[in-house]
Parts: sequence; structure tokens; C-alpha cells
Amino acid sequence: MAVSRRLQKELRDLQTQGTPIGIVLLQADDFQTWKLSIEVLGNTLYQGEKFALRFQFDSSYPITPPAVTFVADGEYNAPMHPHVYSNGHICASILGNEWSPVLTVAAVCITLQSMLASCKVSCSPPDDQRYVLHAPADPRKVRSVRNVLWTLQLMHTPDPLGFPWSVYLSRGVVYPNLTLSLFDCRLQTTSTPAASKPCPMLTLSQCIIP
Amino acid sequence: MKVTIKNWHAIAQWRWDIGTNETDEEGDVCGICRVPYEGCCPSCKMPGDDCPLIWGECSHVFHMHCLLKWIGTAASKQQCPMDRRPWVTAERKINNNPR
Amino acid sequence: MSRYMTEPEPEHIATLIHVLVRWHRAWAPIQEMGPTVMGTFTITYQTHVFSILPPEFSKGFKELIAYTFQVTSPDTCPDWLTKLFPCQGKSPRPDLGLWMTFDELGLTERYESLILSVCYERIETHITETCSKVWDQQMLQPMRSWMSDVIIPWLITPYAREARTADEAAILMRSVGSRLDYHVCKTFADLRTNELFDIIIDFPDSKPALEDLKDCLQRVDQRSHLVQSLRKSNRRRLLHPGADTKLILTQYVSIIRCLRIVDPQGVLLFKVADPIRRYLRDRPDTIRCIVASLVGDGESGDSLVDENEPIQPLQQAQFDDYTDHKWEPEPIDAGPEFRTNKPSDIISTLISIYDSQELFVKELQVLLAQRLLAIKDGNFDRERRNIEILKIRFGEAALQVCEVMLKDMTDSKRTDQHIQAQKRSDMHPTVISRHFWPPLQTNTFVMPGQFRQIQEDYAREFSLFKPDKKLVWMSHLGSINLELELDDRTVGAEVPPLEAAFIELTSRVDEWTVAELIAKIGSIERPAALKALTTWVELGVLKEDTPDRYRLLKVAEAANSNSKASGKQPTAAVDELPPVQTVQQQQAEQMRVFWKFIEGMLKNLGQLPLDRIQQMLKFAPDYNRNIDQLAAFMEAARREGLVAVNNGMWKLQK
Repeated sequence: MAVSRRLQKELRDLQTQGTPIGIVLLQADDFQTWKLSIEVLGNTLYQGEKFALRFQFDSSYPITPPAVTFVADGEYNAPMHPHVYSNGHICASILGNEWSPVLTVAAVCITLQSMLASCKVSCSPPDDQRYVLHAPADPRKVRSVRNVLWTLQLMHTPDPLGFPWSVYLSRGVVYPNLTLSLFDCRLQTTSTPAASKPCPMLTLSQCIIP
Repeated sequence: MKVTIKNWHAIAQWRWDIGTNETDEEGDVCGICRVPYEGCCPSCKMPGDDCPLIWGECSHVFHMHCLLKWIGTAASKQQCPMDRRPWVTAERKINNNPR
Repeated sequence: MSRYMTEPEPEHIATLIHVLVRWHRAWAPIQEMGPTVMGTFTITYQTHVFSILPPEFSKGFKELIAYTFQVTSPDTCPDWLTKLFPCQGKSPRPDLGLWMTFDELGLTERYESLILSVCYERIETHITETCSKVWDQQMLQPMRSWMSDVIIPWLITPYAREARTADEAAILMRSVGSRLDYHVCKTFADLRTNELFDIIIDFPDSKPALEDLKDCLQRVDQRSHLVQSLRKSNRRRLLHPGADTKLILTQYVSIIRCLRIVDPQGVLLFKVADPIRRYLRDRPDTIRCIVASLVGDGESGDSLVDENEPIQPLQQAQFDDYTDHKWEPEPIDAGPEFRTNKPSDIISTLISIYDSQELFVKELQVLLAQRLLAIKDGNFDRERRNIEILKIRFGEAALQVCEVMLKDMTDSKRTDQHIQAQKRSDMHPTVISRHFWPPLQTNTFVMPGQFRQIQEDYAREFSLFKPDKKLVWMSHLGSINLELELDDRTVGAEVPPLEAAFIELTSRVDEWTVAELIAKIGSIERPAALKALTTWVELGVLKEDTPDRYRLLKVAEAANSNSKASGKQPTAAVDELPPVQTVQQQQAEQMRVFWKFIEGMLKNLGQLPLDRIQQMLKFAPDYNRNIDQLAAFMEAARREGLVAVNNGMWKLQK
């Protein structure tokens, strides 16, 4: 109820005031999933290309961020971008821990537009293949993984399984048998301790949340 | 001639006193729910005293219920949704023009 | 025969028949020659006779038969009949001899349909004479009794005179009796069908007539005829521009009630109602009328809704319930789009004319706003009760806005009590929540002098009481009770704020031009200003000395005797409803935005059909009207002379 009211307003605004330049509303039949096409205007790497974004909202939107991915279904492809995986998942802070409820669909679109516009190298993220193999459907779950990775790396915490994080960050390696729930769980345990404290060692069985 | 008013049935609208002297027709909206301040947040049915506003030191204003819902989440990091500065509720200037 | 033709009397036909039978008997072969010869003779004789009888004979014969209805007893029997056709023995019926002669000549067989048609005509005449416009009692049964009392005994002579017992007679009479009963029902159904429109007007007094019709329809299949006929009368008498919407609605409601009696399954209603519903949908004030009757509009008299009808939630489109044990197949003449109307209440039926409830709620909001703003004594119990009732129908959520409006009323009262306790004021405002009231026509002006002072004082007290809030005055709304002390008299009046503003200005300077007044008050239209000034002129307070120039009459002018100078009566000026924008106005306002698009379109493309315009408008931002709404708008534009339509093609009017 609450969701749809806010989304209703956003939808009406998009319809009355129009979408930002380069953004077109493709589908907004309900208040669960919307699709918008996005073009990067001007002289950029993505000139002449058209992508599509899928927004998925849950009932606590806008308190929680929407799940936003590029559509990669054959008709549309995800852009080649260091923060965009080939399955369409996006690594952008505003969709994760930098989310704010005052952000709107239009604002997210503009941010992603400028993310693409400012891109200098057209390449996939280094861990793309691994990631795509193990990524969950909901990209919001993944962000916490990457956040953990980044947090741990910044904290210089030793790797729970004994390898330095830097190794697989640079090489794009992820433990194949490590599930994402492990990382979600790690987020809880690692976000509190001071930077100096080593991260407690966790075994696989401890980490996997049913 | 003397005009004496015996009784006046007048009509007025109430507005939140948000310090600005806005005259714009639609009025400002709460950044979180996008409902006008004089409307009510998604979880309320009655506007006004039942669904009050909350002012931040940063001068940003929201429906109180909307902001509390946001501040209540871990993801908010207790920051103002507008400027990501730590949220501090402002003391309202009550009785700024005492009788 | 020629005698009959010059002087059409049944007697002459009787004489002719008498001659015929005499010849017949005279020429008949003797009995001993056996039945074969006898039969041959009869056939030859009859063929001969029938071939030379002129066509007028059947008419005469019919009249003769009809005549026999009058000869039920020897007293009424004319001499010529008994003389020509003497009855053997004692017969209760003097015409028995005649009938036996008919048989002898084979006339009964040959003219059977004629005999029956005589009965039919009698039935028709009788029913029309006795039942026309008699709707307040059931007439079908009396008609059937009449048939068994009058027609059937008469028929015994031609059909069952050989019967020795009543049972035998009944058997002989069965087929003809059932045909006649059918005819009674059919005649009756036809009569009532033709009268149906007026019967419906007469409802509920005409209920017995409807019960009769129901019984008839079970006997004869006149259903489709009924539908056609009623649809036709509706078209001719109801669905035309001269009829008031309220009247159409009332008649529609009666039609619903009446046809439910005639056909409880609702097929007839469904078919008859369809054109009415369509017509109502195109009327601009239908919703307003329905809503007004929903809230029991005081002045419009009888409400559409039966007070006794239980209030129910609106019924949504129903789906077949496969577990319903009482399910019955739909009647045979139900069309594919027919939906069984499980006896739903009238209001649900009316509201279902439209696809959505939304418009009703909007209209209701407008109506409620008008009423609430006009309330001066703070008593809005009636409105509250109405909303409570409507909540049952529309659901709480839909009427949330109305709830807020009512709460504003309560809050205003409470706040006012508090403020009055702090600092007494002559002002008692209604403080409303914006976004929850329908758009109020805005031409806010600045109240002058003491009025402004009062507003400011009150607003200050309000902000003290509610520190987070402030008041924004809607100066043009509400009403003010004033007393003017002039040199020679005191004038009391209850006036709208604009009037008050003007008189306040004249209390300082005696003479004003309209333009000066408007400049002082700001943002008002000239007609509104003139209207306000007229109020005072009528009260003998102002005088228009020269056009556009008004002067305060400090001393009453004798010439103005007709304006009750000392009259303390409030004027009627504030009796009008507050200027709340109606839903229609709101929509027209919004639609105006799209006029530019339409104009450009037609300018560039010459002429376009409506659906093309609709298609192209869909590219305009925020365009969400359906084609009906567009059609209504185009129609309005046509009336304003902006566009013309020809064969469904719209073009700009040069």
C-alpha cells in the first residue's frame, strides 16, 4: 500500500513532467517491476547504444532501495563497464549502502547515466565470469558481499580462510563453494570490530545460514 | 457609518509553518514519501497533528513517521536522507512571538 | 344475400341459411339410399353452395354468430330466430336450432376459425374495456373467470351440445378452451405491455398489474415483444433531452423494481436497462444526481433509494459460483453478455452504470464540501451520518478524504472554542486541510480594515495554540453577519465577504467607482464585484449615481421604499452554495491543456476522426482521458464554435 502510493506519485510525475533526457519508461504496469530504457547522450563510449534498466520494488521501498539491474536478455545487453557485470548487475553505492529514501527512479537513472557517461574504459569487472556464475538473482544481496570485500580489504583483516583478500580481488577469484549467505553473515560480524582486530575465523559450517 | 461585525464564518486553510513564506500552490512534499507536508504519510489517515512534521538541524523537513522509519533502519546510519549528515532533530522555535 | 349487402342485419343471413337448409333438406336423397349416397350429396351440395357464396357471406356469418351472444335466453331472442330455426324440445339456449343447422350445412366445420375469431374479438373487446388503465388490482383472474362464465357456456352449444355430462363437455371443450385461455393471456399481455411505461410510472400502486403480467408471460411468450415495446417507449418518452436527469433516474429505478416483479431472473431488465444506462452515462449530471440522492438531498424531495432497503456494500461484478446449490440455468432468452443480477440493491445498480467508483467519490466530495462550508451553526450531524452510511457502500478507504473533511469540521470547532477562551473574536472559522478538499475556486482577495485586523488577530492566536501551524485565509469564502449604523437607520445583513469588504471601504470614503474598489481589494472579477454592489443597492445602502459610480446613502432615500431600509433580514446573497469547483469543471480545466494539441493537430492535418485524435493525444504528456471524455470535450468545443464535425470528421471552425 505504502509502496504503491509513493510509486504512484513517481509514475505520475514521470508521466506529467516527462522522464529525464535519454530515459524512456518502457513498462510500469504494476508497482513491482518497472523497465526504463537508458541512453547516454553526447560523446561517450556508449554513443548510439541503448540499454534497459529493470527496477524491482519491495514493500518497504523507498526505505529500502529497489533492486536495479541492466536488462541482459538478448534484446538488450548490459553495457561494458567496470561496475556492470555481464548479467546486468550493477555495482553502485547509491543502490547499496548509500541509498537514501529521497532518491527516486528518475534520480537513480540519472546517476547511472552519468556513471556510464564518465566511463573511460569499456571493459567488464575483473571478476565478471566468476561473479556471473555464482550471483544470486537479487543484486542487493551481492552488494553486501562486495562491501564486505571492500571493508575487509580496507581493514586489512586477514582472510577467514587464510588468503589475503587482495589476492582474489586482483585476480577476480571467489571461492566457488563459498555461498553468499556466508558474506551476508560476515557483514554482521565484521562491520563492528575495530580495524586493528583481526576478523574471527569462521568455518564454512558456521557461516552458512540456512 | 459604522460597520459592526456580529459574526463571521470564515474559511481558512492551515499550513505547517516551515519558515518559508511559500505561496506556491502545490506546496512542498516530504522527500521520503513524496506526499505534501499538509497531506499525511503513507501510514497515516489523518493529516495535521496526527501526522506531524519533523525538522532537522540541517533544515530538512520530513513527515515524522517517514523519517523515523528511515532512521530506524541500519542502512540509514542515522543520517539525513537529503544530505547524509547525521540527523539531529531541531528544537522548534516555539513561542517565537509571545503574546 | 343482396338484402344483407344493402342492409347488413344478421337476420338476413339467418334467412339465407334458412333457405339453404330448406333446399338441402328438400333435395336430400331419401335415408334408405344409405350413408354413401347421403355423404356424396352433402359434399356436392356444400361444394356448390360454398362456391357461389359471395365473400361478404363470411362477414355476415360472423355477425350472425356474434349476434348469438346476445341470445342467451328466450327473452332476448328475436322472433325471427326461433321462427327460422325452431328448437326441438326444451333447450336452455334459443340458438340451439341455429347451431344444429350450421352443422347440417357443414358451416361449423368450414367456418370454425371464424367462430373462434368471434370469441377472440369478444375477449379482446372485453379485456380492453374492463382492464385498460386498471392497475391497482389484479385483473387476469377476473378475466379468466369471465371467460369461463360467459364465453365457455356459449361455446358449449357449438362444441359440446352432445355432451350429456359436465365431464364429457369438459373433454370436448379442452382444446378450444385452452386456445381461448391462451388468447386471454395474450390479449392481456399485449394490453399491459403497451401500458407498461405508464404502469411503471404508477408503481408501486400498479403492482397488481405487474403480477398479472408476470402470470401472463408464463403462459405466452411475449417477452421479446415486451422488451422491444418498452425500449421503444423509453426512447420516445424518457431518453430525450427534455427529460430531467433526476426523472430518468427515478423512472429507471422504477423500471428496475417493476421488471424484477415481472421477471425475477432479470433478463428483461438487463435488456431494457441497457439503453437507459448508456444514455445516462452520457449525461453530464447523472453522477451528481445519484450522489445527491445518496446523501438524501433535502430539496429534491423523494429519494431514489428506498429507505427500507438495507444498506449494503457495493457489489462488484459477480462470478459464477460453482458451489451454489440454488443455481438455475439462465433463461433461454438471456444474451451472451447477460449476467445474473443477484438481487442487488438499487444503488449498486445505479453506480454500476459507471466503470469506476472514483467519479462518485469525487462528486460526493464536492457535494460534501459545499454542504460543510455552508454550515454556520456548526451542526453537521446529518453529513456525518450520511458519510457513515456511504462508508458501508463504498468502503472506508474510498471515503477517507471525506473523513478528513469531517474531522476538519470537528477540529475547527474545538480550536475555535479554545481560541475564544483566550481572546474573544467575532470570527469563527472553519479550518480545512488542503489536499483533502475539492479545489475551491480561488480568487483570494485582501480584506480591508477591521476585517483584516480580525483575521490577523485570529491567526496569531491560532499559531500560539498550534505553534507549528499557521492559517491561510480564503477570504472569498464564508459569510459575515453585519450591522451598519447609518445616520437614520440600522441595517443588518448576512453577506459574503466581498460584500463586507466593499461596505467596509465605503465606511471610510463615501463614493467609489467599481475600478477603484477592485483595485483596493485585488484579484476579483468585475462581475463578482458588480454582484456584491447590487446586494447593497438592493438593501438601500448604496446607490449607483452614475454608471459605475456608487455612493453610500447615509440617509435613506424615500424613492427606495421598496428596499426594506430598516429590514433586518439577511439577504439571500449567501444562500448560494460555496464556489467549489465541480468535478466537471475540474476535468474541463484539465482538458483545456490539451486543446492546444488538438488545435495544432487539426490545423496541420485538416480533419480527423475522433479515434485518431485520441491516438495522437496519447503522445501528449499526462494525457490519460478515454475516448468518451475526449468526445465530450470535443462536443463542448463544438458548442463554443471552435470545431465543427461532419460525418465523424472533426475540423477547426474557421
